[in-house]
Amino acid sequence: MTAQSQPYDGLDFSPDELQGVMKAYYDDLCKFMITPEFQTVYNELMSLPPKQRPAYVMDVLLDPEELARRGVSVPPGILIQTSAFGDRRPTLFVLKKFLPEKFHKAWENVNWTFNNEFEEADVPVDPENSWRRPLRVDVQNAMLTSGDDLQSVPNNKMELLHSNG
Amino acid sequence: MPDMINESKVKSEMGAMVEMLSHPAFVAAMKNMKATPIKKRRAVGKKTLTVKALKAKGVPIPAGMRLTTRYFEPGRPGVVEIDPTGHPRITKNPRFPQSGIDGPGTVSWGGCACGGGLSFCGGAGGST
Repeated sequence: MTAQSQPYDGLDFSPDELQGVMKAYYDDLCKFMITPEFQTVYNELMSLPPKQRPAYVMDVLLDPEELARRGVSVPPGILIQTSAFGDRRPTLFVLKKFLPEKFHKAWENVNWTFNNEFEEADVPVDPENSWRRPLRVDVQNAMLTSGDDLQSVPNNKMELLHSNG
Repeated sequence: MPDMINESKVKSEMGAMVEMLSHPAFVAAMKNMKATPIKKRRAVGKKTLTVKALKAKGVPIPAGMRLTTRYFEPGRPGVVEIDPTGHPRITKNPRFPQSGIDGPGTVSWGGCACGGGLSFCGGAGGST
């Protein structure tokens, strides 16, 4: 038995098992995102000015009927969601798939995230700012739509931050 | 110009993510986070789930890696405007009247390796 096949300390699965399921689930996300129908939607989204993209996400990517009309078939188990990060990168939407429950003691999901373009230096990487409460998604999207800098929100502006965590 | 989705590049980045996320030291840090009371988790994350801390424990961290909190919206986000004083002014979205402004959700954390023009990236989440 190799180290890779031995269970993690205190857990009932091994690195080999976790890697196997993560690779398989990432592959599922990848297969979906390279379909011509999804790529067409993604390219249309990214051809818009950044300020117009949150509305497109809401009107197209989060609307199952609109996706179906465009021939996009979302495989079972793949979620299309919005989100917000503590480092406040200008994120647009995410493809997510939950791992089987036995792995949730470590990781619950794998995901692939799509953002507005940003400069590395404009989004902090220090632990203090990376581990902030994320902005509320509705607030984030309103600011992206108006072209405001997400970093400009004070870290103690509680009504603009997500309440959990 | 935004990045186009390139299958081989995406798969390469996903492979690096899996190597990092499954490293025993990273899994141990996540397990420790799960055992931490929710109110203390961000404080613990600042110390244990950082690129510097994980690198020091031998975790292979891809270039450009970021570790950060994250909130996943469970449904469609609400629609708000920001008033001149910086306060959110909630407006109804007639197309999606069921949109939740304060719906339940979870704060997650995870890794995100961003490459190229930083317009897409991979990650994984473990939520409260």
